Amino acid sequence: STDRNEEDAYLDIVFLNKDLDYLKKIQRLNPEFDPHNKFVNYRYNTIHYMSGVCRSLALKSLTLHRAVNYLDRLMGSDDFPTSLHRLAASACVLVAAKFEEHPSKVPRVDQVMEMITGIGSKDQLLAAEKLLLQKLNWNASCATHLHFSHCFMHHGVSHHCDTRHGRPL
Amino acid sequence: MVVKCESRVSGKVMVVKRIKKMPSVSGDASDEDEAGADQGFPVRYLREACLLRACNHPNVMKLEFVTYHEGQIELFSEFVGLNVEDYISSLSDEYFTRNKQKHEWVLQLGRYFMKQVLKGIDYCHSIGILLRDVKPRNFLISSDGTLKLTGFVLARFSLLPEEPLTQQVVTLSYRAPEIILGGTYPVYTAPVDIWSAGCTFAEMITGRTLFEGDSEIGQLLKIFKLLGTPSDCNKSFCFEVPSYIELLPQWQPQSLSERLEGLCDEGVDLLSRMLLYHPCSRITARDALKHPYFQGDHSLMKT
Repeated sequence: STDRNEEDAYLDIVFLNKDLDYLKKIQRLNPEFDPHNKFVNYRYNTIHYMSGVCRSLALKSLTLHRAVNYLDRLMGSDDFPTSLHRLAASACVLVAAKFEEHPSKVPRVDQVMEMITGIGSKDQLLAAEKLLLQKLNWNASCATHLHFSHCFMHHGVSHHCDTRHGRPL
Repeated sequence: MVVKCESRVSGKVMVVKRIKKMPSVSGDASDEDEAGADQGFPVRYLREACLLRACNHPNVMKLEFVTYHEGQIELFSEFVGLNVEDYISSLSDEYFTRNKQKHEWVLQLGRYFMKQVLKGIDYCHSIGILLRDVKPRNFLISSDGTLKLTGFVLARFSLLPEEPLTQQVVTLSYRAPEIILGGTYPVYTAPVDIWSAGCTFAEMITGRTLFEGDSEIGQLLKIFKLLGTPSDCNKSFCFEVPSYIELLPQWQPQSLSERLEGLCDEGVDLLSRMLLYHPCSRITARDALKHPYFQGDHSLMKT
């Protein structure tokens, strides 16, 4: 039975790796942390702000994590004026929601605008969205920590024999 | 609007999908249209562009670049050619009549195309993309016979945990029963693409749409008449089976080999595995590629 358990454990790892393979591929798009980037000093507050926006709009955690990934990809390459950080962050939330949420749950631009009163105009928000998409080179795929966590959590509570729609969980 | 174009710089022939001019952000409500509606980049085209950009496979159409300025979106893709649906329509009845040499060629072509259909779907599933609109019209045939998957407007990334998705996906004739019966927010995953691929397979062999219903209930009736009314066991393929199912006649499954005249036993077996009611039992794209139907050398003969 010890052999059997070892075999089971091995299979669990094999299946986990298989599931993680494509996440690892996508993960290559993630930016490397650069401690010299000026944005690092503002990152904590900006993410805190994004978290509040996502909570107010009742968006999924995955949307927030995706938005943070976009923000890092955007800020990693450019030196944005501090005054535009929140506007850029809002554009990241908007794009992430469009990609991640059910179409009926995607916030309208007006709703996002209510969150950013005093920070920018609707024109600026849509211009920031366009800039973001161009900076991402139209590849909004990303693998965040939460994507990996979900994968591990499912493996934590399921066996390699467990299937859903014929596929290992 | 989709038009063919040629790059003045590289000379490369491409197709450009031009989405209606969006209104200016300060425009009035009457300017709102399908693409813009003053909500920035439209969700459906955002997903299409981003998912196509994420793909890199010979059986998936390559999106070269996207332009987005002055409210107009243009998606530039490689030029491939005719789609499978138009190609099938262009063939005469002789190609779909049993015991004719041309029918034999169609059977070979079906196998040749189907292998590529499954390779494209398998690739997309392996990188977490749920296509949700697999149909002959969304497969383009290049001049060298390569099939390329397109039509990512309804596609999305589908990761664990599963969550309720929208019901308004997949052209009705190719829509899997778990979507039709799943209520407003059905939970479904990759097997819906396999069902659609099965319908596409049958259409390539017979030249006719396998299940052509005029409404959701009409579609179900067409499915049940051929594959039999689902048994109690099979009804568990969706969470809440609508009560009207009990009122439907109890049809017995018909023979797929009679419906798909001339298709070899392996082909019929593969199709029957792709059209199983229960998504758990439905074959995966990867397993389908290992099916005996695709074993051996099946190069196309010239006509």
